This record gives sequence, C-alpha cells and structure tokens, in this order.
Amino acid sequence: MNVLYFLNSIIVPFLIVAVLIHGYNKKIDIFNVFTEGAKDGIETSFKILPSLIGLICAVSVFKVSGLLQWTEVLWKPFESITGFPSELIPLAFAKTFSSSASTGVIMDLFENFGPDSYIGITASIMMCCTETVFYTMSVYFSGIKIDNTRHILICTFIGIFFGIWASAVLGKIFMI
Amino acid sequence: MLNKIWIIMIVSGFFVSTLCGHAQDATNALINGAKEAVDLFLVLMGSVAMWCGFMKIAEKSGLVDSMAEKIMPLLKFLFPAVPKKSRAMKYIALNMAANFFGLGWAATPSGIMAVKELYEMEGRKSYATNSICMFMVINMSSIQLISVNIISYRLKYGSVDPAAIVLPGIIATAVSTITAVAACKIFERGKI
Repeated sequence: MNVLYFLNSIIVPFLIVAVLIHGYNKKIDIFNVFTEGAKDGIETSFKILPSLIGLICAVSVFKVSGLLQWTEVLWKPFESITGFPSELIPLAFAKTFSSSASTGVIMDLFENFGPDSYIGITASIMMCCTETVFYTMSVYFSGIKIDNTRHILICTFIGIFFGIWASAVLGKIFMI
Repeated sequence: MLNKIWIIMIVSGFFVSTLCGHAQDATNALINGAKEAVDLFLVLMGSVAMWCGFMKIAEKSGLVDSMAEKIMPLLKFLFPAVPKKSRAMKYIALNMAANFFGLGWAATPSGIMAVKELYEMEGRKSYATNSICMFMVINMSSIQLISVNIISYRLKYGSVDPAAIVLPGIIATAVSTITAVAACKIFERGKI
C-alpha cells in the first residue's frame, strides 16, 4: 500500500519535470508558452461557469429534498430478487450527478457499515468505475451547440450498469 | 435530455421539500448552490489555468504528439473518422492520459478542446457525431486507473486494508468502459 501511495504521489512531479525539461531542451520559450496556455485555461473556466452554476443549483435543491434516500426504499422489494443491496442505490444515483454528493453518501455508508464490510467494499469499487455523468456532459458541451445527443447517455448508462453489477460481484470476492 | 434532467431535479426537489415542510431549506440550497458553484469555479480556474499552461508546453515541444503516436492503434479503433495528425486527435490523447492517471481538472480543459475540435472539424452538426459520442461515452464511463480519494476515505474510517479495492476497482472500471464502448460501437451504426 505504501508503494502505491508513493507511486501515486510522484505522478504529478514526474510529469511536470518531464514536460519542463523536454520543452527546455527543444528550445521552447517555456514560461511564455505556459502563460499563453494559462490564458486559454482561464477563458475555458469562464465559459463553463454558467453551466456550473445551473447544474450545482439543481443538484443542491435535489440533495436537500431527501429524494435520494427514497430511492433506497423504492429498491427494497427488488433487493431479494436481484441480490443488490438497497443501501447502495442512493450512491449509484448520487455519483452520476455530483462527486460531492456521492462523497457524503459513501462516508455515511462507511460510518454505518464499516469500510471493510460487503457494503463498504462494494461501495468503494462502485465509486472507482462510475463518473459524474451530467457534470461532464454539461461542461464538455458548453462550447458547442448540439441538440441531438444520440446514444451518448444510453451507452454511458449501459457501461455504468455493468460496472455496478461487476462491483457487486467483485465485492463478494474481495471482501476482507 | 439535459434539459429534462435539469427540470426534474429542480422541480422534484422543490416539490418534495414543500410536501415535507422544508421549502425554506430548498430555497436556501438553491441560493447556496450558486455560491458553491462560484467557489468551485475559483478553485477550478487556478487549476485549469495551471494545467493548460503545462499542457501547452508539452504540446509545443512535441511531447503530446509522441504520446498520441504510442496509443494510435487504440485511438484509430475508437475514432476511425478522425485524421491521425489532427488537433482533435491530439486533445483526445491528452484527455485520455489525464483521465487515466486521475489528474481530475487536467482532463477537463483537454476534454472541452477535444469536443470543440471534433465539432468544428466535422462541420458543426446539430447532432453528436460518432466521434463525439464515443469520446463522451469513454469520458463518462470512467477510465481512471486508481481512485486515491476512495483509498484515503477508507483509511479515515479505519479500514484494515484501504488499498484492497484497487484491483477490483480496475476490473470494474474495465467492465464499465468496455461495455460502454461496445454499446457505442453497436449504436453508432444506427440512423441519425
């Protein structure tokens, strides 16, 4: 585990040093190019600000309503048929629209069941294989005008569905 | 689609809050949400600007090209319609690398640029082209190698082996990405 932490902690330093040395050797005016890129980055950030405000406002209202917890109750009847624990349903929903909401949900799960329980392990795996769908979609599409998103969402949800299903199976295998 | 999800979130949120007698909380949440978004924006702006700066250096020095060259067989399979040497392909490669290493905000600017380049290159269509669909599906089905945040949360709650989820996490991520890409390859044959 320490090796893993170490490897992870050197990714960024290694990348930055490699980029700088490579650029310097290629006789690039590195600082000026950096500021040029940073300027683009600032413009990009301003472009996504409106989508960010719209999305986070909606997520906050949804979060405070407690609807997320209802999904757990709604799943209860299907629990025995599918074998998928209802406690994990709110997490599956939360992760698709907000990483802060899903962090809150997973902390509660760890608190109530422990991180090494079946629920805890499965929840952790689920968090690895899912992504904040609506955030990514609204931010990436903020610079363009597309009305018909075709099969993007359906394919994403197929992937997420199988990812979550795999998490439930793997959780049983890797339970401590 | 996004419109529908957006309205469902807000309307159902307000509706349920009102029924449960905490409409005021929902109003506060709405207003705080706007503030939260700007806070996030400030953090994001610094981070995005920094990553864009370093990425520009990597781009100009040819580092991105040589990296894209290495994963070209994969890129060609996923994006057959995108020319090998195009800027779009470069941004796609950059975005995939950033996602893979879990660099979070570094993936956002290259992702936006990639979508924009694809959009302009393929003639500003009002529908998502096959390339855009594939790119979005890959991004939203998660290709991150190791999720460090989860490991640290597990550690915080007293797990005896916080990193035990790394291997199953990678397997589950592979499952979600491969099924999503396969579905995308099937759907893209359909009529627009």
